[in-house]
Amino acid sequence: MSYLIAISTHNGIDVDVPFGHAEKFALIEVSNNLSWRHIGERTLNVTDLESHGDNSKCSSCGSGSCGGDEPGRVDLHAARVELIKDCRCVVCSCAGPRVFRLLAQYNIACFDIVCRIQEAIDSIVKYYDKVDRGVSLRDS
Amino acid sequence: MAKLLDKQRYKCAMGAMQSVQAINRAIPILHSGPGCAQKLGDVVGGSGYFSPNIFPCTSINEKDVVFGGVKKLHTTIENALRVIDADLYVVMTGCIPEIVGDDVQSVVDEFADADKPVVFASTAGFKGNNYKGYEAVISAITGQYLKKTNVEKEKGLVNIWADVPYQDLFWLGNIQELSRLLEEIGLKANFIFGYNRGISAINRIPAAALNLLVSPWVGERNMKELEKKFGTPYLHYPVLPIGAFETSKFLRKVAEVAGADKELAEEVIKKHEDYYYYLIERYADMFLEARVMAKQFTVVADAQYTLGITKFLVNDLGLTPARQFIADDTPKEFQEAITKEFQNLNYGIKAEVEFQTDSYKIHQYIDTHDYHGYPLVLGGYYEKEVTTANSGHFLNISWPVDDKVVMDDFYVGYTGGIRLIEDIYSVVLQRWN
Repeated sequence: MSYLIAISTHNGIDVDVPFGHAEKFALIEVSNNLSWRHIGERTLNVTDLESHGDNSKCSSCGSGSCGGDEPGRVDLHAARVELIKDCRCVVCSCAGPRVFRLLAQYNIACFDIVCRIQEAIDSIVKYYDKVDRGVSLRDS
Repeated sequence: MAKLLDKQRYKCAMGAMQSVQAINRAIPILHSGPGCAQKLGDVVGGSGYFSPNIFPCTSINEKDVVFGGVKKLHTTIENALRVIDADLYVVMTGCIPEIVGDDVQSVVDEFADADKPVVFASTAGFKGNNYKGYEAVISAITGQYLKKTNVEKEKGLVNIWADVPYQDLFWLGNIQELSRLLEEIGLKANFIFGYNRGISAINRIPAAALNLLVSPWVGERNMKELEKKFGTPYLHYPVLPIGAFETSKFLRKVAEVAGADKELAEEVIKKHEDYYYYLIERYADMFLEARVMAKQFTVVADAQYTLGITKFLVNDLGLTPARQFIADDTPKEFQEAITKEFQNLNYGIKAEVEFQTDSYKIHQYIDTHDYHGYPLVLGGYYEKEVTTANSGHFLNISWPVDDKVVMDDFYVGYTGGIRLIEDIYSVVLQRWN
């Protein structure tokens, strides 16, 4: 089964951007034979979204970067989740509990870890392969 | 074909976090999912200096399965040492980290120079139940914390190892009573669980002249390890001594092996037996009038209690055993020796014993067996319904315990035998009142 992985990265080498700061996600496609490739990026159009709301009303951060859901304000977290809703998982340097809940609505797993993208993808591909084949996760 | 197990009577190996909890000022650090810790911490009488809700736990999740949880474990141990004032930290693993291959021992080794001792017990659920977990915890403490030194043996000092704390609701009272009995015959008792014990008692383990294991099988592995490491011989007494007959036999054996004053031991035995039989005589009328309470009895418990109580009910009370059930998943290598003990009862009586972990089969037996009158069933709370449905007498003596509170009561020894009689006949007399 092929699937997509969204990566929150600034330099394209490391997982180094928190979910709440991500303006774009690198998309990785994992094919049936477990090989993977970078197929492009998905970018959050913040300007368009902000023109429909007033982020300064967020009492938590004042700017809206936390993704708080106060009335009249753009829900950036929801917008990011909407952007990657066809992915199986997202990898970012950190994420809060609200992000996990939003992602769970689309059955998207979230791995919040700081590491090389290569390392993250290798581990995830190996893990999902075992899960999909219904074999033990025992590291052998 | 998949096998269903109905109402098992033990927890997974990490349930032995309760054994750690029973050691004063010792705390488990759990490397497991949060659900494991929450479920295993469910116990009456589990609060105190530390309670399960504050046990440090890595609360591992899917990310730790994929990327490993050793960093999180390191941080958790580091912070536990910083904010929790304990004397001993025991890192315990659940199934997940052991399946995915977290190298927990290496992480724990990084704390070898910490101000307080940190040890590691491998307690993944697939390694066995909490009886095995208890052995793993004892093994971790004696193997990793205690250093191999040529400590001079203290004459008359005996380490007592008996029940699995919290799994056995009488663990505290029992071990304290065993300690009192040993001290009465001139020995010095040392045990690590319960009030006013802890790290100082652990430190005394190597100095003991004898390790005394009162259990059919749980802990034998630890006795062998202690013998190998500290050269301490051990006495394995497989029967929990309940009532006069077994307790006198027990004290004579301990006095002989530990080199206690035999005359003093006989004096102590006589004093206790005189009082014990004084009480039995006073209540002889009750035993006679309530003789129809049960022609036969069944005990459903771990090997410790099923054997100990069966011996007591036959040897001291003269009751007849129906089939007895041992439900602790006793390892096969111990089953033959335990079965032989059930053949060694007074008056030439032999008891049928079945090693059975499936409560459905146990209840099927209780439900269909002809007890020739009211069944007397001593077991876990699971047996209450089936016993009541058969108009029997039920006493909750083993896990799970849902209808009684035991703070420091005990069934061991002469006094413990009297307590058990009181409890049984308190149930029986309700029928006629």
